[in-house]
Formats: sequence, structure tokens, C-alpha cells
Amino acid sequence: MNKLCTFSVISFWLVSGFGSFGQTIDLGALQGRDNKVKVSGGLSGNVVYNHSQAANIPPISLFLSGNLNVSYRNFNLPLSINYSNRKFTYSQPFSFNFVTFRPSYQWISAEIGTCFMSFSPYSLSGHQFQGVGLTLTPNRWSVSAMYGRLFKATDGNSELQQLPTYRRMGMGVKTVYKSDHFTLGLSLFNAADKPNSLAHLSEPLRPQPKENMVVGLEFSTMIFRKLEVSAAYHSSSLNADTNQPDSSGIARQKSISGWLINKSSLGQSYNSYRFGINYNLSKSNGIIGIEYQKVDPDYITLGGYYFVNDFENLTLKYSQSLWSGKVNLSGSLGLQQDDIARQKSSGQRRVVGMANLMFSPSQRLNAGLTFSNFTSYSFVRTAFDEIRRLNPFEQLDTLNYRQINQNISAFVNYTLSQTETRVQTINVNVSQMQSVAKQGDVVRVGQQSGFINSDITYNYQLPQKAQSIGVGVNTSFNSIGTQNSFSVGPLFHVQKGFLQSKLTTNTALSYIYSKDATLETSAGAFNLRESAQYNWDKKNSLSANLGFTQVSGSTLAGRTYVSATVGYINRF
Amino acid sequence: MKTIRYIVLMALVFLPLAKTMAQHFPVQATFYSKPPYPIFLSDYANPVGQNLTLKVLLRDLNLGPTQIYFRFRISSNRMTVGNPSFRVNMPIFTLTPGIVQTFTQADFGKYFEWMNLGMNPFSYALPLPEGIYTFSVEIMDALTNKPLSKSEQLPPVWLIVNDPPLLVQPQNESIQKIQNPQNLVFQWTPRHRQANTVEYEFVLTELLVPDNFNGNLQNLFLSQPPYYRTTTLNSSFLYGPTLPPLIAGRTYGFRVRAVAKKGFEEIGIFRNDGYSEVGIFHYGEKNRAPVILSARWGNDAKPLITWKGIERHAQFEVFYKRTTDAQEASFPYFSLSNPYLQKVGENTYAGKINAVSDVKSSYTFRVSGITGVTGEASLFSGLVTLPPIDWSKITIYGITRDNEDYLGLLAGKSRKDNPNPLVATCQNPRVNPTDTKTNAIVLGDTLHAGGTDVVVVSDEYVKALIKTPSGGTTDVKLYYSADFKINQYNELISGYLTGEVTNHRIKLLSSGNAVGEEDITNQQLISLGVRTDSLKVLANQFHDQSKQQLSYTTAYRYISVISTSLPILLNLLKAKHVLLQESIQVLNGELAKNLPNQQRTQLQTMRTKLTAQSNETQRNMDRLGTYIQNFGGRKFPNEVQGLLLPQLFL
Repeated sequence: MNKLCTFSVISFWLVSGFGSFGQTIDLGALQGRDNKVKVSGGLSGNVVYNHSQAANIPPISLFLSGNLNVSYRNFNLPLSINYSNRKFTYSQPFSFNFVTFRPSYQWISAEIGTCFMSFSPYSLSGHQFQGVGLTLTPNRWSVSAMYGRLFKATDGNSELQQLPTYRRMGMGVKTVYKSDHFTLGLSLFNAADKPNSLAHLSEPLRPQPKENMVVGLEFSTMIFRKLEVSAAYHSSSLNADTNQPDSSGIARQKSISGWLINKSSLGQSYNSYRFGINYNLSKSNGIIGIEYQKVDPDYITLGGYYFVNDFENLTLKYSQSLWSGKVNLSGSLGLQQDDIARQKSSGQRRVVGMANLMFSPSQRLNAGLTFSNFTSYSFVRTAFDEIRRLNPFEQLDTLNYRQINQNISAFVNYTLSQTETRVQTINVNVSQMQSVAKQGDVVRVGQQSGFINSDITYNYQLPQKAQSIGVGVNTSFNSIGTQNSFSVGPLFHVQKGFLQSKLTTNTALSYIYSKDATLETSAGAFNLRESAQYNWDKKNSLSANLGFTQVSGSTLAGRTYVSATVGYINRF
Repeated sequence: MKTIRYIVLMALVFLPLAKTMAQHFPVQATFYSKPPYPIFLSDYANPVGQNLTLKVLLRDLNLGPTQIYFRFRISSNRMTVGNPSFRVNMPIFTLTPGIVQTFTQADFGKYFEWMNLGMNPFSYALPLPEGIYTFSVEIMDALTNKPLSKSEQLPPVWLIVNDPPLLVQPQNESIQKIQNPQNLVFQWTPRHRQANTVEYEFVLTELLVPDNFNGNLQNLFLSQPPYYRTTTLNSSFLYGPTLPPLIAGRTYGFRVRAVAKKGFEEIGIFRNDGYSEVGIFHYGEKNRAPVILSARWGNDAKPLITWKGIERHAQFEVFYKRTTDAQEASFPYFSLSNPYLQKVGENTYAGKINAVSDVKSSYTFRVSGITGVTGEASLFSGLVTLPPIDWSKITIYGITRDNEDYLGLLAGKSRKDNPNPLVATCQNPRVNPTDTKTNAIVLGDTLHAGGTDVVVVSDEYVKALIKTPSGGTTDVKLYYSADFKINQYNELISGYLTGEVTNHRIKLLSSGNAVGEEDITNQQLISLGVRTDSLKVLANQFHDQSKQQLSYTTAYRYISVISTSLPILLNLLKAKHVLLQESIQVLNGELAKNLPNQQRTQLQTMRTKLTAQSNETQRNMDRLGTYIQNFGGRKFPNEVQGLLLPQLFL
């Protein structure tokens, strides 16, 4: 009955989306002025060479990517292929390699093969699936629908601690209607494990099959051409074990998504809300915005990947342009809170602040200042507190842990001289990042880190010859935990074009001498970054780049990292 | 009363004691526990785990060595699991009376395996829900399955499921500035407690995102091997110059996993296995197509376009074509790889297309940005069309409309900076005439209007010669307004000239067969097949052509070319001279007749002018002839040519 319900809702939206189908056929195209079948596309191949002691990355990997589009009149049939022999699997079989057909005709387009579709971060969120996706955009409507396999059935591997997975099928539809004054969207997403896909495994080895239903509502409008209001609501119901139907009807879910899903004693419903207002202060060239977001504890959707849940978030944003754009000021302040249901043993409150100031008083001078602060306060409730608690409303917050991350960075670009043939500039960058963790107002040893990095570069450019040369110095002071180090080194970069600028090269060189005050060691790091691009003609281009790092030190053995890529792009 | 209360109280205190004391067990067990408490039951089965310890004493010295087994029970308000009341596959221990024996997880770990807890392996594999748990144990007699001890309970423990760390820096989906040498700080904030010694596993993965990929980048993160991984005790990590190179333009994903450490054993007490969200950042801005901000005619009548790229663009290509030219898809553009790049702001450049000289055509531009990073194609901006200079918007004297300030731009001075910008080509312009006596207008007259001299070429419009800063001249068609009058010095005293078509005709003196009271109805001129106006226009055209011819010639590298083009120029001048002579003869013939005074004066004025032009042409011909004689056919570099040629027409 519920399935039927779901289906009828989906088909209603589909039908309403098809409402204006007959009106927009391009007769001119059908009458056939151009009867040729056109083939176009592109092929790109990259070979990546890696030499690295830091990870088990294969030394040579191949990346191939191709597009082929066959078009006839208004009908397009593009095919996308991606292939790489660089593979890695964590626990689920995700793959880089895929083949997708994307036929389209006017406002109808489809995806067949390995597809990706996104409804919302709290619903179907770009999860890979094997199947069919359909997008219709007649007039003011936009309808996306999908059906496919999210996971394939795997038997798991007890040695690698990988659990078996059922074949998980997903289907969903999102309909958006845009009028001149508002936008309204509704999305439905259902994912369910197919219990019979693991029928060959014995009963105790089978995990609990899950089912998920997400209903999403979106709305946005513009009032008085200045006030923009947007809101989104998602309700997700998860049936953690479809083998245990709720016969007694006790676990009645009072949520939209729960109404559409099969009842189960292990069912849970979660909600997420987002509400935002932006106001355009047109008189003073400013924008002010407020956003509120709330995601229930353990909010889960089978259409996405892990994301942070159980939080409330309030953000205030403001941006202002002054003196006809010579000064741009923007800032935001956010308050976040964890453990909104107050069930966990510890909660956290976070204050996130950011300010950004850019000013360019003249054409020669550009400067900017960015400051951000991220402070998190952890409140810990101990078991003792819980037992001692006299009434459920008593506040049990104990400030126990505080982490402060502060970043400040500034840059100044100054043009010393500028003519049509020669430009000289000086760039200065300074950044400081600091991270302090306090436990009960005490900073423990090793809980403080600071990074100061600065560089000054002089650039000499010959724009007509596409050449530029830069020389500079980089210094940094880093303290991580108990380790302090100071680094200094020269840097150099050159950019040059050859063969009537068909070949462009970019080289950056730097050497860093680093002295560790705590360990009394020193190390030198040589960095080379090189990139070259050769445009053979409009259709063919070759490119290559190289990243090379060599580290040698007084105590540690020398290390070399190489990442080199050669690529070829052909368009036809 | 008080005593009763006291008795009741004492009874309440001692009653439970009395009850427990009544039951006597031969075995005394003491249960110890040590945090942090794992949330996976399998961790209690781990023989090297040290969370639980059990000390057992067989107090009844009358008993011999007794075989026992344990019954562990874990209970919370939501669930209870425990060993069954009969021994299945669990080890048996032997107690010796009077000796305290210590059992650790190495001994009783097997009791916490899933088959011994009566669970299925999958619910066993799930973490215990957060909450208060009570561990208890009973010592059982292996022979009789009877309890030998009371149920020994641990104080309730709160099992904590910690949240994984929260990524702070770099922000998700942010663009990180490329630094030389690389210096990127990662920060995250821990959200766990209890586990004091937590290590973080930091993983950085290189994501080569194909152009046709439109899914969640986490897919790629999960399908690619780590590019760099390390373990740190701090909540910050500096990705410095000594680590594997980050490649500009690539996208990277990173993730932090918090792992609680206890001794050398990992204890899973984290949600999502301690994995944080996957953070994505772009090292250097992803290649984006440049955006053309503006396209306009520069003050030297060359198109000037301004566009904004991204920091990583190493080179731009500017394409242009006449808007009316072939289809855009066939790419017949001229490519100007390096226009005179001028940085006008952050990643904003301006370029001048010097090759364009025709201001009367519309042009279309597009810019492509090239990063030079492998795998990134050059991306094209959208097409931007520059309309031709619209002369209809230009008005001279009592200027009504010149929205784009074209005249100001062409004259090299913007009206915005200079309220009186127009540079006259005449020697003595009088902008504010004092003489107000009206004068008739003759074809070919040079009028002084708005500080600019204009040439009367029709009864509908004049031709204005405007000097451009680059040294050339551009002609503008300007129409007469109503009530257009000049004074005796040919200065404008009433009305104005405008680029807009006014459909207003002025009365011209001696304008051939044009309609008007004062027209010369000269059959001889008409029978010659030339109208006076066309004659003068023709003469002027020849003059202009010859000048143009010369300016083309200077464009060539060597003067040898002049050996062919200068004779052509000489021929043109000769033709002009002949025409002028013929016109003068016609005028002489007219003047010989009996004419009204006014008409005679005007014809005389015209003759004077034509004679002056004739003389000038004669002089130019002479000079050119001498020049060809002396220098024709010899190769001179540009510099010499530049010195010699301008002498010709001075």
C-alpha cells in the first residue's frame, strides 16, 4: 500500500512535469534543414608517474577519459568513458572507471550507465549508481528521476573485516517548479537492500537489510527584489532491519517519510532543516544574510556518504563594498552546537568567525587581510554527573576542553612600474596559523602549534613575449607540539613561451633549509615544479608537468618524491 | 517516638545486609575494570586487552581443587547479553582453595566471543549504543552448573561513542593558493573525550577529476589510493616542502581518522570508525574560462578588451573576427597569442587589438585561458560583440548626443577630462565667433564648427576630418540642423552639426543641378558631365587617395616598394591636376559671361580655391617627381624612409 502511495506521488509529479510536452517541439529542426549526422568529441589520456615512499601508490598509472557525441538534428547521444588502472578499494566497491551514455533531445536528457545525481546533501547526494537517470526541463519545470543499483551484492570478507552487502537499489524523483516569484521543489528518494541477493549465505551471516525513504521540500522566493528567503526540509526514515516488520503497529512514525515507508520495529525518523535570509542593502552596496541549520542526531540517508550530523548551526554573513569597490569587506560569524538532543556524554559548541578585507586604493596597489577564528568548547557530562542529576532539566555542562584555531594572513601586491612592454611588481605574503588546545584551562605540553610563513617575491614581466621571471625569499617558523623549526630559502620562477607562444612553460624552483631547534637536526628540501603546454593546433594539445621534491638531512636518509604527468588531448 | 524512628532506620540499613549474609558462597570474586571502555564487544574478547581483571578466591578450604567457569553479563537499559547458564565452548579454570587467582582477558577473553554471548555475528559487530552499562560476573561450578559466587558487579560505566574529528582547515571545496614552496596547514578539531591518547591518521588523496565527472567527489576519494598518509598526535598538520609535491590545478581529498590508543592496542570507540568527513580542496583554482569584462573602442580607435582570468592562467589567446564573418564554429579567427597584455587588476588584463582599423564594423571577441597543467584544456570565454562606432550619435557644436564620447576619444582627449576637447585640424579655429554676418555656403567650403573644420560635401551633410592621436584622419559624416548659418569667416553662428540624420537640406550656392533659388544652371558644366560638387568631391577624393596610398606605402619595410607605388601616386596627382585645370577653365568660361554680382563673387571664390588646390597639387607633383628621380628604386630602411617621405606634402 505504501509502495503504491509512493509510486502514485512520483507518477503525479512526473505527469505534471510532462504537462507541456507537446508545445515545445522545434518544427524547424524536424523539417530537416540539416540532415547530417555530426560526430564530435574529445579524448584525453594522461600517464602519471609517481615515485613516493609515503604511500603505496602505483608508480605508473594511466588515466583515460573520452567523450563522443553523435548528434542528428536536435538529438544528441554523447558517450563518456573514464578508465584508470589506478584503483583502490576501502570497503565498498567504488570505481573510477565508468561508461555513461547521455542521450538528449531538446529539453529531455537521460543518463544510462554509471550515473551520478544530486538532489540535496541530505537526500540523494551524488552517490554513484548503475542505472538510468532522466532529466526533463520543460518551461518552468525541472524533473529529475533516477533508478539504479547503489551497491552491488558482496559476500564480504571476514579477514579484511568487510561485512557482506546486499544489492541496494535506489529510485528517486525531484521536481522543481520555478515561477517568476518563487521556486518550489519536492524530492523523493527510496533505497532498499534486496534480501534475496544474499540468499546463498546462511542466516547468521546475513546483515540486516535496510530501507530508507527521504522526502525533501525546498522553497525559495525573492521579496521586494531585495529579500531572498530560502528554506529546505528533509525527512529521512531508516528501517534498520526490514526482516522485522512491525506487526503490532507500535512504532508508528509521525513523519512524512515514515508514512511512506514500511513499518518496522527498528524504524527511526530524522529531520534536517535549513532556513536562510539574504537581504540586499542596495543603498550601501552591502549584503546581509542569516542562515539556520539543524540536523538531527544520527541523521542518515543511504543516498549519500558520511556527513556530520547532530548539530545546530546559526550563521550571520555580511559583505560590504565601499568607495566604489576600492574596499571590499566581508565577514561571517557562526555558532554551532553538537548534541542537540542532550543525550551524549559530551557536547561541543563552536564559534566560527571570519573577516576578509580587500583594498585596492590605486591600480598599482592591491592588498588584502584575512582573519579567521575557530573556537570549540567541549562540555563533558560524566557518568557521575548523570547519576547525581536531580532533575532532567539541570544543566550539566562542564567546560573541559577548548580548542582555538586562529589564522591570519595578509598580502600586498605593488606594481613598481608598468609599461606595455615591461611590468615590475613586488608581492609580499604573510600568514600565521595557530592552534591551541586547552584542557581545563591548562595547555598541556604538545597541545600548541603555530605556523608562520612569509614570502617576498619580485616579478619582472615582459608581457609581449609572454615571459616573466620572479625571485624571492621564503621563511617560515613552525612549532608543532614540542617541535620547533625554522626554515628559510630562496625561490625562483620563470615563465616563458616558445614557438610563437604555442609552447608555454612554467618553472618554479625553491630550496628550503630547515633547522629543527628541538631535535637539533637540519634538512634541506629542493622543490621543482615544471609545467609545459604545447598547442599543436586547435584540435591537438600536449601537456606535461613535473613535481619533484628532494629532501636531504643531517640525520634522516635522503628522500625523493616525483610526480610526473604527460597528457594528450584531442578534440574532433 | 525517636526510638521508633531509630529502630526503623537501623532496620532499613541492616536488612539488606542480613539478607545477603544469609546466603553463603564458597567463592569470593573481585571484578576490576579500567577505562577506556571499548564499545565493540570483540575488544573484550581480545586476549591482550586490559579492561577487565578478575580476582577469585576459593574460601572454602575444605574443598579440593574445583573446576569453574564464568558467566559474564553486560546489561544496560536497552539490552542484556551474557554467557548462557551452561558451558558450551568456554575454557574451564581450576581454583585452588585459599589462593587468590587473577584472571585477565587473556584467560576469559573467549567468553566474550559472539557464539558464547548468544549473539549473531552482525549484531556482535555493531558498536554498543552509548549509555550506562553494568558488567557482572558469576563463578559457576563446572560440574553442577551452580553458581559458586554471588553476581559480582562492576560500578556502572558509561560507554562513550566519540564523534570523529571535525575538519577546520582547509575549508571544504575551497581553493587553496599555490605557494612556492608548498606550505599548507591542515587543522581539525577533536570531538572525543575519555580517550586521552588519540592518534590521528591523516590521509591525502590525489583526485584526477575527469571533465565528464558530475558526481560526488567522495566516490573518487574512495576509489583512489592515498597519495600521502601519516599519523600524528596533534590536531594540526603542516604539509610542507619536504612532502610529496602537490600539483597545481589538481583536486585533493583528505580525511582524518581518530584512533584511540591504549598501549599498543587500538580501541574502537568512535562513530564512523573515527573517520571524519572527507574534505575536498583545489590546489590552485580549477581551470575556468576567462570572462570578458568589457570590449570598447580605445582612444586610438583600436578595440580594447578587458577580461578576468584566474591566477593559474599562464597565457591567454585572444580571438577576434568581424561579426559578419563566417560561422563561429568553423574557427576562422585570427589568433593573437600575445596582445599587449596589461594587468589592470587582480587576474584582470586588458589587451588592444592593433590589427583592427575599421571602426565602422562590428567585431566579436573571445579569450581562451591556458594553464599549462596537464590534462587541462584551454577554456574559452563567451563571445562578446563590440558594436561599430555609431556616428549617428555624434554631434558637433551644441553637442546633443555623444554618449560614448567617441569624438573625445578619437581626438585623444576625453570630454570627461577636458570640457573642450575637439582638436581642430584647421589652423585658426574660432569657436566663439564674434562676426555675425551670415554668409552663403558653397560646396567644398571649409567651415569652422565647434573648433573642428568640416568640409561641405553635400546639401545634407558635411565631412569632418578628425585627427586621431595615431596621426591619421578619420572622416565623419555630420548632418545640418535646422537654421544652420555661418558667418563671413565660415564660422558656425547658428544651428549645429549632428551625426544623426536630420533630413534637413541647406541651400547651397552653385550646387549644379540641385534644387534652389541660387543654383547655377550652367549647361556647360552639366554638359561636361560633372557637377561642381562632384568635381570638388572628386578632387578631394583623389587627394585623400594619394595620401592613403602613401600611408600604405610606409607600412612596407623597404622603400623599394615605393618604386612601384609612388608612380601610381604621381599619376593620381596628375589626374587630379588635370581635373582641377578643367574646372578652372569651366569657371573662367562662366565668369566671362554677364553674371549677377553675388554669383560672380562666389564663382570667383571658387576659382581662387581651385587655383590654390591646383598649385598645391602642382607642387606635390614636382616634389614627388624629384623624389622618384633621386630615390626611386633604391632600398632604404624604414628610418630613412621616415625622414624623407614626410617632406613630400609639407
